[in-house]
Amino acid sequence: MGRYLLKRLGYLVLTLFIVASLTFFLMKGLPGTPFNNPKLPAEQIALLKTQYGLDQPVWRQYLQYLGGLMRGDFGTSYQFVGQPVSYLIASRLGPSLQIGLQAMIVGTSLGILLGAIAAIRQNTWVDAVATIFAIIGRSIPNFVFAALLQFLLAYQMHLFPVALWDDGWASSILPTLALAMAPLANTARFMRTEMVDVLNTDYIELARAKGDSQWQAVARHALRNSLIPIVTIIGPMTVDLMTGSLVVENVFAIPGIGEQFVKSITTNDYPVIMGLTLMYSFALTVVILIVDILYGLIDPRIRLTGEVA
Amino acid sequence: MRAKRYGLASLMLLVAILLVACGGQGSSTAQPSSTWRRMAADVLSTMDPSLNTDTIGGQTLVDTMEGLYRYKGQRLANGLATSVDVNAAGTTYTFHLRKSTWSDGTAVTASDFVFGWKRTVDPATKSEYAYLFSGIQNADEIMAGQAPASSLGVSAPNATTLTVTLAHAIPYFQKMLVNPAFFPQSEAAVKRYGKTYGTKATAILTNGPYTLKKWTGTENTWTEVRNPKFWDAKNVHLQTITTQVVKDSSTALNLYNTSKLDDVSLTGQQAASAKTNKDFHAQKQSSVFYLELNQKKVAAFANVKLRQAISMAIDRQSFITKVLGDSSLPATALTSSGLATAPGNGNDFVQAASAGVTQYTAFDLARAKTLWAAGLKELGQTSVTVELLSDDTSAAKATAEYLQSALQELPGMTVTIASVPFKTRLARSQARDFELVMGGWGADFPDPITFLDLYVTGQSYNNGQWSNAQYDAAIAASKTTDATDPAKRWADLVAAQKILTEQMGLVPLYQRVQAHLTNPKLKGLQYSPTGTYNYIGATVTD
Repeated sequence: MGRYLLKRLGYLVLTLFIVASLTFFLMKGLPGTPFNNPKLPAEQIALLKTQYGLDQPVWRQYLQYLGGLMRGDFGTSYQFVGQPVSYLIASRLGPSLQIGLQAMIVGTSLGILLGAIAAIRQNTWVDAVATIFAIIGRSIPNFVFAALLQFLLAYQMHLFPVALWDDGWASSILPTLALAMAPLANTARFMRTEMVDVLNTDYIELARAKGDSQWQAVARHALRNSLIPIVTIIGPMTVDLMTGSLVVENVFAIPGIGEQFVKSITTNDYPVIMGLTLMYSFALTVVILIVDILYGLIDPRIRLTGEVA
Repeated sequence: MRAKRYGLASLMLLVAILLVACGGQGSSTAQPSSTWRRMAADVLSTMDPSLNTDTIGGQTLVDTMEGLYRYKGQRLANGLATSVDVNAAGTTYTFHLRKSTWSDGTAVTASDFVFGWKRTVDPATKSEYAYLFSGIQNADEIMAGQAPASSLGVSAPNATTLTVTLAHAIPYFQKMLVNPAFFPQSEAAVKRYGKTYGTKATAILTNGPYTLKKWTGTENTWTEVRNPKFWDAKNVHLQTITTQVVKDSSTALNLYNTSKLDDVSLTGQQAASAKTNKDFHAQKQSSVFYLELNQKKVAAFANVKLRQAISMAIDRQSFITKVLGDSSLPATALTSSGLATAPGNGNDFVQAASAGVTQYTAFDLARAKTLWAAGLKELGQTSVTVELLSDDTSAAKATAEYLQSALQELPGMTVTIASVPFKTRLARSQARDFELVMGGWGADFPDPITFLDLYVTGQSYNNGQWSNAQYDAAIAASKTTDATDPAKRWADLVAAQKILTEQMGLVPLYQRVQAHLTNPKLKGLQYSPTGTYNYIGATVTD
């Protein structure tokens, strides 16, 4: 296990290095400059580029950036004048992380429940309703849910704050719900398919023959075996929730990081693009590692060498 | 099922009616409060007066700092300056300052201005607004790295006297001084905070009506609290101003309607449906949007009749109603209306400069077609095909499509649309890599020259590369021979604007009017021609 982890950590560093290098060169190919003030004359832009070292050859800028990374220096933002990128990310990551994780927990647990019930009550009206629910959850974008929830539950019924991040946990409820719809629908869909398969296997039939009720067989045997594909999709989904929260953050005026991901690209804020890409790559690789470890816990037949016995 | 749905709908309606009713009662019995909660469309990016470039930072600096002058509505009022002596040539200004203090109690002196100005012009500071100082002795040389920042033509003979030497007379110099780039900066504070100066509320030193609190540099909300040490504190009545970043327009409206915000700006669509609301008000801005015709890319655009035909083929009022949806005004000139008034009689510049040339910006398709045909005949062409470069936002696309259909009414005119991201459009405009493009300009200071300078031959913003010797001569005269004679200078600028309109060097489309919903409890808030609010003198009446 220790050797396995060490090997995976080595891969992680290598992955991050490749991501950083690729992103750096792709980013330098973006049109425009970080100086997006329409009033700046061309001469002034040239002067600013010199001041910021952006007139240097790209390979030299790349080496300088790598040198900075080694010292733990991610540079300073152009949009947030003079703010270190690490501080910018640290101070805006919290709200995004909170609603992302809450949405993940709410979405997957309800999704698993809904999918399991649909599978057990296969081809009944319960199944039909669950399927329709999943289709709606998957096909309607989260910002539509966000706007609907805001209008109905907050604006009309005054049950929750309309927006803003100033009312403690209550502020996070509607964004969480809006964000949870997609993982809920996804999980439910996967869970139903997998559960239907598992319920048709011989060992479930054996369990029933030994006297287990339908629900006992599900709880003792089927649930755990149906979870493997769910664990596979949970990893990317978690990272997706963190990056994909930008519209929900805008609708609820949450001071999160999601929006910076897009805005840094449209404004050529190079240090922020790099910082966020590295952060998300790091999160994704760590989540994949955790998922791989979870496989072994859920299904003892999977060994952590990566081979299935 | 159906009955249930109706049940739910009527229940919601009932709830809504009850809530509206409660809301009405609530506001009349609410406690008097002197907090003003406004929205901003984006974050506050810096509090360093040398580095700020946007209107959000500009407003916060105007709230928390005091320069030599301050706009109180349309009136340029004394800030820290109590009087000024100008020499006959208009090249030396001696400002006499009042005694005042920074928020930490230390004295604001003339040296703080000298330090701040030199810091902004110094290329090492990387200020994007350094170009505003062009015209002060040695500023251009300093910006180009050919002279040290210490050689800037500004000095402090004593603590309350500031002397500025200009390279040439600048008749609007005092008006420019309301820009935050000209505010004083404490050398001690800049040195003390070093790299962090301006990046958080605890790393700045201010001297204005309000003091910034609760801002660590990256969040979506910040607070300004009345500064009792401000020299004119007796006229500052509003205790607290909070700003909240809201990017989604319907969220902003919901927050206003649930009394979470006191002022929100509206989109065109929202404005159209909010016009009957008693809290609705429209704020005319000093920004004009126009079409630029690149004469170096499309030879036909060098023909004045074709340019005039293009302008007359556009129904500006219908465009505003159908596409923008707000209260924006059809533009009859490049210069914005409400910006400057004539010396002596107080007539608006645009009114004076439109006399006799209004037909060139009035919709007249029949006349446009006649001019178009005549122009094509002169060129020996039967058709013109151009690409209209536009941003890729939905609003910009709708604008481009409207213009496309309007211009294609001209026989033989084909317009294709290229939608690109904002920064690409900007880069291509500046590189003059376009045929037809939508552009816009907002006044840096309230004088027509802030607009008219754009289309001087060879100027870096003259993207269409229109050139007219009479126009150039009139602008040059306003800056040299007539610089110190307000009446003659005014006549030069009016003449220049008339030439630009008649020759259609560019095609003015509209002047932006921003719609707001504003809580009527705040009285006496003033809006300046430079687009910032002045909260001094404003009172909350409950």
